[in-house]
Amino acid sequence: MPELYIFYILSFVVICSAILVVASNNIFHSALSLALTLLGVSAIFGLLGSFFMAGIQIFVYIGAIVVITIFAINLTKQKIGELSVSKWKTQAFLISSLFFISGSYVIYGSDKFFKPMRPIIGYEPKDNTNIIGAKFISDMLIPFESISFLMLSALIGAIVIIAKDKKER
Amino acid sequence: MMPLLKHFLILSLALFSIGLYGLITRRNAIAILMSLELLFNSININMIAFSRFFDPSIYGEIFAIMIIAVAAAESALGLAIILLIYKKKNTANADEINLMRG
Repeated sequence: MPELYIFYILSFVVICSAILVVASNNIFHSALSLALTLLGVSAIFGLLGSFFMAGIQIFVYIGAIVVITIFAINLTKQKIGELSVSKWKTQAFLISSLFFISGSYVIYGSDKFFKPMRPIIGYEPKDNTNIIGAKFISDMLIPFESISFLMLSALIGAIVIIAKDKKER
Repeated sequence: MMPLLKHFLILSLALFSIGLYGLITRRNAIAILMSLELLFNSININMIAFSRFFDPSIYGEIFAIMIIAVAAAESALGLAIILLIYKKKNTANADEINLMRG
C-alpha cells in the first residue's frame, strides 16, 4: 500500500523545511520554507482524509498568514551582519530534544497509539465538509459566533494599533 | 501498510520540538511569530489525527478550524504590534524591546 511511503515522503519534506524555518540566517528564506512546511502539513491533512481542512489550510495559512508575514519582513529591516539566533542555542536544543525524547517515550509506551488508519484509496471517504457545515449551524453555533466576534475585534484592534497617532502626522 | 496513529503523533511531536527551539533561539520578533505558526500546525495535526482515528464524530476538525481562526487573528495583531514597535524603536528584535521595563 502506498500510503505509508507517501506519509514518509511528506513528513521528510515537512521536517526538513521546518528545520530551515528555525535555522536559516536570512529571514526571507525562512518565510518561504514556512510556506513549504504549511503545504506539506496540508497534504498530510489530505492523507488523513479531511479534505476540507487541507483546503482551509492552504487558503488561510499560505494565502493570508505567509503573505502578511512577507509584508512585515519587507517593511522592517534587518541590520547587516547581525546574528539571527541568540546565545542560548545549546540550552534550547537540550530543552527541545528532552521534550521530544520524553514525548516519544510516552507515545511508544502505550499500545493505544498503534491503531492502523482506515484506508482511503479504494474506499470512498465520507464527505465531512457537509457534516462540518451542518454542525456549525446547529450544534456549534455559539463557538462559531464567538469566533466571528473574535475576528471582528482583531480587525478593529489591528486598525486601531496601526492608525493610533494621528496627531504626529 | 497503512500509517499508524503513532506516526502522526511522532511527526506532530517533532514539529512542536522544532518550533519550540525556534521560539527560544530566534531574536527577530517576526521569526518568533513564524515559529509560533509551526506550533499551531503541530497541534492541528494532532487534533485531526485523533479525530480521524478515535472519534466517529468530527469535533476534532471543528476545534482545528477554531485554532486556525485564532492563529490568523493572532498573526495579524502580532504583526501590527511589531510594525508599530519598529516605527517607534527602529528595530524588530525581541531582546531590544524594553518599552515596559520600569
